[in-house]
Amino acid sequence: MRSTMNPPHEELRSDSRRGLEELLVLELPALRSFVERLVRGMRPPVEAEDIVQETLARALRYRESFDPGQPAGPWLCKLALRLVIDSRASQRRDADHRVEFARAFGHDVASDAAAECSAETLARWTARLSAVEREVLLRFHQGGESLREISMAMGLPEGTLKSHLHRGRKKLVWEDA
Amino acid sequence: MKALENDRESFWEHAQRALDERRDPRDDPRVLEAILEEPERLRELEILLARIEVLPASARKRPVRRAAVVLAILGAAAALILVCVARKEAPRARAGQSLPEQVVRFEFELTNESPGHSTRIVINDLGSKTVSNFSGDPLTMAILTTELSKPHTPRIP
Repeated sequence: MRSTMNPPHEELRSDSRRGLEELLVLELPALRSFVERLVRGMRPPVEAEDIVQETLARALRYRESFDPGQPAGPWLCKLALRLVIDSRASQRRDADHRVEFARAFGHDVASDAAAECSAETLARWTARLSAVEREVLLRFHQGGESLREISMAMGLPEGTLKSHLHRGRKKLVWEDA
Repeated sequence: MKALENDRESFWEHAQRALDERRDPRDDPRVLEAILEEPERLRELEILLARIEVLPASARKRPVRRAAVVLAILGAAAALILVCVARKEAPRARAGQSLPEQVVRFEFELTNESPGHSTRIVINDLGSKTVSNFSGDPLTMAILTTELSKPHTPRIP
């Protein structure tokens, strides 16, 4: 006898009579909640409902890739996550093309990421970085130098520089915290 | 709580490793697994990647290399000496006589460029200024510009 406490997918995966469509309907609230958490606060914004609808469409299109022996929830979330990542990449490419196009016509345009930042915001982000952290971050990410090259230029061991690099990245993310 | 912290540490460890290896963390299966567990992590990762992208514009505190400063000061000093000597030795104009060339203006410019950053120091007879920007190929260049007066013959009163 099946327990009534099992989550919907647990019941459904063992019930071969039910179709994927019905499974999707049952998983919809959890999927919507996942996507809303995924895209919350993103700039430029991503419409959660668009992602949910596209996820459902893809699930139906690629139903062969679904293993009925596995719960549908994680499979749907993976599809949604991939959609959001692809959608963000597409937004970035569009923004880069806009900037390149504008610059080709002599307009001095900042990238979306740069345009979003006021001088004060930038100063705040970097205020917590030490001189070494700033130098390593710049050399590694903007200069394209390897840790070995930076180590030779700055006269510091690679391991030390790697720690500074990691700490600098963390400070950039958690500056708002 | 401890497990959550460990998950978070593990997520960042994988993300940092991907960045170290110049891979996009959003393509790393372990990073994606962690995002599936905690969807807000994607936003955190995007914040980091965006801030790294705009970092050069905010790195104003980058110190000018000491060698560049020393060179600039030496250049400026040399130019000043040149001006002083030229002025001191300049003969007074006599009626019907031509004057030799004189330095009436000088400018010393030093450009020091490294990947993604450049600093330009300009010292002239009016003062000095430093201009920094964040593009260009590695290059260090110094230019001394002097402006000479043309020999002229004073008019006979």
